[in-house]
Amino acid sequence: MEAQFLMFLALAAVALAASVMVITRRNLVHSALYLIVTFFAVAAIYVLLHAEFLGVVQLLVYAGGIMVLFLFVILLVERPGTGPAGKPMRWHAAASGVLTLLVAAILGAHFLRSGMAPPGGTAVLGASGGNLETVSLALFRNYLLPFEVVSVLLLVALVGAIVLARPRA
Amino acid sequence: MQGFDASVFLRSLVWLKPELFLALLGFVLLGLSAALPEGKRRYVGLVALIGLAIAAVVVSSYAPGFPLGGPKIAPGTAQGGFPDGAGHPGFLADGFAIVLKLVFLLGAALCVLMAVRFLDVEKAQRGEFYAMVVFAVLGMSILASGNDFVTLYLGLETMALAVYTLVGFLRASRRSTEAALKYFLLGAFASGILLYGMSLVYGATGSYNLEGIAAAIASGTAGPRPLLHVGAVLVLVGMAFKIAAVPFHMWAPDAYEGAPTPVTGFISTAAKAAGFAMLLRIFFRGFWGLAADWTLLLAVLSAASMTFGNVVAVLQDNVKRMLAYSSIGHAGYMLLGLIAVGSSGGDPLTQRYGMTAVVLYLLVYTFANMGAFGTIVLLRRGSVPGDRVEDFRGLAGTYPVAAAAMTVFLLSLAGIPSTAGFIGKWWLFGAAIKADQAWLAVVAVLNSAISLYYYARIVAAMYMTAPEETRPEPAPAGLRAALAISLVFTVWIGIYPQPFIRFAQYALWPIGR
Repeated sequence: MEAQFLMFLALAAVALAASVMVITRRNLVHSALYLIVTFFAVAAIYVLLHAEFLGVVQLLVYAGGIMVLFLFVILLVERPGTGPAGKPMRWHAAASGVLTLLVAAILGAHFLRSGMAPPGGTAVLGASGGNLETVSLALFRNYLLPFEVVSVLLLVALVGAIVLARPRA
Repeated sequence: MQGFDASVFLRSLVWLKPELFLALLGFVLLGLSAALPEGKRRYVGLVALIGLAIAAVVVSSYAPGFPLGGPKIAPGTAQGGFPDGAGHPGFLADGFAIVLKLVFLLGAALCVLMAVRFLDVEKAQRGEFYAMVVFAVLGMSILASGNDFVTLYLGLETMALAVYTLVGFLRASRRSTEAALKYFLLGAFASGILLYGMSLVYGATGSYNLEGIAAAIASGTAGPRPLLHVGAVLVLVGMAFKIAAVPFHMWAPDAYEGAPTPVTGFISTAAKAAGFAMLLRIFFRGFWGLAADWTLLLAVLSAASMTFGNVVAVLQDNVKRMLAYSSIGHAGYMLLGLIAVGSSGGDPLTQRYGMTAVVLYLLVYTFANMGAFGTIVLLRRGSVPGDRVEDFRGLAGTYPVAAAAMTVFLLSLAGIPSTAGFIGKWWLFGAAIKADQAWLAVVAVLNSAISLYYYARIVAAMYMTAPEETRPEPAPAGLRAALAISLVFTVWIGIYPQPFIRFAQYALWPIGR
């Protein structure tokens, strides 16, 4: 328990520090790379909480897919190293600070009121074969039909993208 | 996981025959379009047509009395498959799904018939077009049978992705590309709203299955009411976008105008029918316990759609745009049937009347609207876009039969007696009156009168002006067949509607159990 708590503190510190770097870097590509560090740290926290599936999805979808999209957009839209500066930024910073405090206060109040999760919550999951197994059993049993429909949907998306994107004959 | 039995899953597959066949057909068409050389691509269209006909036979084989063997579905009963953990079916096979699937297949077949020559003229004859039509129908079929949010949403998105591609299929046309982009962006946004609403409903009721949701609402175990209500409203907003009801209609005129004309016909009939199928399922199966609340919202949507659609259509000079606004108005008419069911207060007679009216009108509207767009396809040649009112000048001289057919389609859309549109509107307006919503019926009748004005403008252009001195080329066989089918059924339903009313009544299911 102690080790887990220390691990959590370390990972949370990494996630927070990387997040601060994301919003303070001038170079957008650097910001994007720090964002990946944040994603990894959050994914590690999920694993720590026995939410292995969520951790893997976090890595695949966010650190994999969405980051690549971010980088593409940054490279296409704006030259790295440029960005708005000066007065509007100061207002922006002040407003962000107020909003952050507000969200933190709301969330903090919520957690304090509802109390901590009962201990043993993760142990129950572990006894039933773990988060990963529970999710995959649901996916391949009760959700088998939607799962197969998704495969058709992705094929349609793929073919549609090729039809619209390939050079004109 | 309790409640899962592999043999139950395998037995459920028997209700999935049409969808399995359509998926196979889609793959075959994709393969064919890659294998066939440039000049023979149009045969992919022929294969698609045959496939759609076989799919219609497979769908109808569930109907009692159909000569082909296999399991049957008696009217008013539902066969469920693919149960979730609580035992609620995720996929329903009932009369409603069968009738709606036949309407989708009809719309798709008419679209393919028109498209073969249209794609030649546009120099965009590619097999993927037909595969996308088939995949769109596959999505609609899954949606029509879906009984939980996951299945419904996946069916909707499969349809939507295929339709976005079809709208933007003419790569050389700026209008087509622009239409596809607008449709895609707004569609994705609407899907987001829909999903958010679904997640709130799931949070409030603890079930994503429509029967589970209905049970939670009926037993009062649904969580905080505001959460449920906000979720239901967001779902309604997402669905209103899909059927292009005011004020969520912004995409429709641009998408309809820019899309290849056969596709415009397809999205204004089959895709709209799919939206109505989903709306009916979610609100009558899932949110029946909230009927008093959402009926009022639907009434506002309906009155706004009818009035706005018909008034703005008067100002249009582009026929496709005019029909787009008229289509917004028709969504308003069709909502009358839903409102009748919702405000029936549990009276089974009114419910049956309202349901029948909606399904019958979807069928009637498919024939009339596909026919009208087919005439626009006929006018498209060389450098003439064929979708302006002036393009219709003197059509009675160049294509007398097509001009007469177009007149019938327009009269049917306006609801003139002895056409199918009259029968459809008779049932819809009757449903509104039966449910004590006479004011909506009055609004609808006034709007039908307005619509006569702009439909008559096209008729006047066809008959009152002399034809230009061009020798008409003979209409291609596929298009002629599509127009003939639409014409025959529009007149047939107008004169002898009984078989079609029985067809629509097969779609009834026990509501609000």
